[in-house]
Amino acid sequence: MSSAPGRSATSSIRMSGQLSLESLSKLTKMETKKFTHGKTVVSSIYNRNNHLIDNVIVVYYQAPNSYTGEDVVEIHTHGNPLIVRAVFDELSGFGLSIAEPGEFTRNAYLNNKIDLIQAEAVFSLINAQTHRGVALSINNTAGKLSAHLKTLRISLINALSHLEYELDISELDNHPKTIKTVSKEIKKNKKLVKKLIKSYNASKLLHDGIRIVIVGPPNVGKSTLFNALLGHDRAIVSDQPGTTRDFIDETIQIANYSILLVDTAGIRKTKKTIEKEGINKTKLEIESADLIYQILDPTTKTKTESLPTAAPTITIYNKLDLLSKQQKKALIKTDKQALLLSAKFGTGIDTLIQETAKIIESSTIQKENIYLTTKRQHTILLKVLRALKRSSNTATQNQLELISIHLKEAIKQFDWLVGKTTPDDILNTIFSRFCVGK
Amino acid sequence: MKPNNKIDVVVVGGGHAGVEAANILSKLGLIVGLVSMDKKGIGRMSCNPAIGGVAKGQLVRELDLLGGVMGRFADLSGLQHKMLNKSKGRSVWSPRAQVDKRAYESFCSSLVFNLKNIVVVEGEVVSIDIVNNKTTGVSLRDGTHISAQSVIVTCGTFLSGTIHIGERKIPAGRMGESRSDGITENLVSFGFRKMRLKTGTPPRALRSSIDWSKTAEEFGDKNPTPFSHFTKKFNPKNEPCHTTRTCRLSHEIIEQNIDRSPMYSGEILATGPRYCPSVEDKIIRFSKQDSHLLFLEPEWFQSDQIYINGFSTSLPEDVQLDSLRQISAFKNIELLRPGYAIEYDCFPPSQLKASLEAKDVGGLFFAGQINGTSGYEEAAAQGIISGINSAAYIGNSEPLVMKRSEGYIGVLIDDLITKDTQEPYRMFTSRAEYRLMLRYSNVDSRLFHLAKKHFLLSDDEQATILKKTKLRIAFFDTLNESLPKEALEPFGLKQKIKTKDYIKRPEVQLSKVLKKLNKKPKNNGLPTWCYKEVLSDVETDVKYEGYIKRHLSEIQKISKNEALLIDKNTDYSSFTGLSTEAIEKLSIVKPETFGQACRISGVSPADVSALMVYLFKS
Repeated sequence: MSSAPGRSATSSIRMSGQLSLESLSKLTKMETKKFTHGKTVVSSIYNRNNHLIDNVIVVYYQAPNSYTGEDVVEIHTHGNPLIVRAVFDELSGFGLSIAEPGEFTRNAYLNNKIDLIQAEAVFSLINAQTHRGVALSINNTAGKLSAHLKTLRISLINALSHLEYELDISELDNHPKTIKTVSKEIKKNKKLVKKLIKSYNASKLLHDGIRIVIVGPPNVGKSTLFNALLGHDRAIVSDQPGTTRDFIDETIQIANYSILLVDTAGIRKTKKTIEKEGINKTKLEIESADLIYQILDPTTKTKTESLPTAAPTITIYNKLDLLSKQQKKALIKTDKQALLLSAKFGTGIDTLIQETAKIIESSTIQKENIYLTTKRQHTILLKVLRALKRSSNTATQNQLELISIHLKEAIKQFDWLVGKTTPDDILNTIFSRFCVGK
Repeated sequence: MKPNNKIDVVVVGGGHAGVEAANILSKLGLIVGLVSMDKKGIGRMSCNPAIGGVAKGQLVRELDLLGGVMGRFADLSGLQHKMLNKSKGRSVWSPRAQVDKRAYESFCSSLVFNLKNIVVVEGEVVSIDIVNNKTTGVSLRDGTHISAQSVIVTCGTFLSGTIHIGERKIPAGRMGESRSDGITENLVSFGFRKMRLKTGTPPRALRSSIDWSKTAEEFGDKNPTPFSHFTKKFNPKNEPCHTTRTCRLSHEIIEQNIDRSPMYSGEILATGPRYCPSVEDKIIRFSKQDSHLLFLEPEWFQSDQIYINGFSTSLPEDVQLDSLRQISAFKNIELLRPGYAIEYDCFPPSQLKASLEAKDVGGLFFAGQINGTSGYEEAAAQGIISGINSAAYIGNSEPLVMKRSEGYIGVLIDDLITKDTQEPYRMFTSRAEYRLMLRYSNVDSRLFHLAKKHFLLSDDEQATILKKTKLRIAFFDTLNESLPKEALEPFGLKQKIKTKDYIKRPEVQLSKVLKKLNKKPKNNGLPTWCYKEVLSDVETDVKYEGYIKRHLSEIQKISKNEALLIDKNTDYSSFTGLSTEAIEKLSIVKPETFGQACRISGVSPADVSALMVYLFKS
């Protein structure tokens, strides 16, 4: 079943494979030739005892022109789980089995209907957490990322073809010029690969949502801010330092971004084991944060500690309500970047939200709008970059055959992204670009 | 000996594959029947008067170490020898020689006629006898049957060959020689798949009709390196070749007459080699280029016949002549023979095992152009392997299967049986994933173990190789020592360093260091070229050590699964997770091993993973 389970106006049942058309014919008691590719047919379906199950709309997609590349049949029934179950019972009787999650997409991939990048995009499309996350997955299913990766691969193959032409075929010695051309190509591609690698951080934020971690010494009002942003009391607040021992998190929306807000235990020196545990966890949270709210209490003397993270940090002075005008002025002077707010009374929360949205946008917007979306892609491109760096290092040593080894290594990484490259692909490129033959 | 005597192996064809096969079989003590349509055509060089070249020179070296004759004969009949790619990287240094075709051919035929245990039969094989999926011999056009336990088919371009010169079509195997009919139909009736390929050759011109003052001279190397490990006296002539260029006017003639080329008129449908395109192809496909280089090569010593390399064509003779005469050196050129294209039958080699034996017919081997390859060297390499393995088949011993990491011959045969050749297959160094390790200069250390295992070299020959090995070891011994204290300063060094690590620096040369240290090993009676070659090869090994180590660890990693056998009757369509294309290809090719399966075109890395899961389960 391809629509969500439960009661709804209609339900869609999809089958794929050789048995699809035959099963449809059995269900509807209509001849197979009545169904033509892409045409909707209104029909009745019956069970094995010839009892009417439902009146339905069916569509038949003939292989290979379907999503999976196999014969596909869609049956749109009325949205009653009992009807759906009855249809499933019949289909099982015909020898069909229920698809595993992702099996249709897998078959589409195996039948060359989509490439691996597109398949991955389908999965992240289903799981994307933010509006922009959805938008960029759609880009990928349409093949934008794979087209980009293919171009990148071809560009590397072209560079390699210059080398191999010089090594394998050329009757003349043009190797200094060849190295120059190839080095230029490598440099260009290195830039593109770096950009792609960077895009992964952005897309990770868009897909998984953004993790904002609230940190600071005990009793500065972290939990109060947490509750203020949440809009209701979730964390227990008290005057007692060290109240929050474990971290708690909640999902909130800020400017269309899905945000996981994490409240943590205050960091201080303590002998209490439970609290110690909490502090250790806090450190882990900080390391995995995408954005940090570092809360300080201007009424006590606390210095800002450096945090174990590279994530952007907003410094927040809480308890604005307890400060005199002069104190505020002095504070603003000493730390121009910091925000002043009162979590208790909600003053300054809007500014914090605006500031947060600004930071998220600046770290997720890319000019080209092409993003890596999976860790796998990211790991592979890191390897590509490493190989390219090595090949440009060997280029400076004038060693054609070594540049070639590293370039081949880079190209090989694309095997798993957009398809295998064989020596014949390199030779084909040579023959189409260079006039060869003595 | 008469054909009725007991014959072990029939070799069909006496070209470069046939000669190598017959020679090695005789060496291994088998009785050979060589059937040729023309006794005078044995060892003929049908096309260019040269042997070796990039990747091909390496092949010649390898087959020399397996007991082949191509290298020795090329050394004996060389007109000029050259090491190609000297400036471009040690792994692609490749020996090539212009050779005297007539000399080469006479060396081949006198070898064949004087082999021990050989019967040379002039005749035309029309069918291979196959009983119960095993070959039992061949039948000739005149009705003669020759019984044998094994048959090696090496028919070059002769199977249903058709020559094209413009609109003219001539049934022939080579210009002036009749073609062979029957074998194709015979093999197809046993279920073999066939295909048709095309190749071509340029015109031959009369020496005296060329204005040589308008050409540039090119000589070979002053201190040339021979092909063969066993060549002792090497003093080749250094006869020049000449170069000139085509011009705009000559291109225009071809453009105006392009519809008379059977390649363009649709007369020829078979695919030709793109690495050796016809001149009309070059002009049409690279129309921006105003001129193409032509090499004028003597066909034999001071021959009146000149091979115009770079002008392969199937245009009508008058167009060839007209176009050539626009070039200043060729104003009055006379042709002794026009260029032509030839179409011929061959059999996709994915039907063969890695031993070159047919997967479905025991004892039947294919070698050379019948497997869709081009080139004398590629043919000879397959010839020798098919000979060795035909002997192994009869002796019921293990066939010689060279690994891709061991040599170009291994790459060649593995490519042939796993890839679909769409055009005549030629060896290139870029086909070898371990190119850095497959050097012309280290063939002895790569392949000697195979030569010994299969008894391919005489005692004398083995002694020569062992001498070379000893020298290699002596060089390596000097490297493992640290540079002596007193040597540090002259080398501009401050800290203690192993000689080997010092050599790794790009600018440092091993020979200079050893000379300075006075540690050069003695040459033990090896010729100078050989001594220099070992020296340079050891230096290469040191300089590339890091890369070679990485290659070796990769080879080690894949070797675990590489040889994993796959059942011939595996039903790939029952595997989940394989792409449709992979299922189709695997079902046609029926790979013998997991390694072969991985390299079949159309089998993706994802398919490989899926296949692995299944194979390890079973």
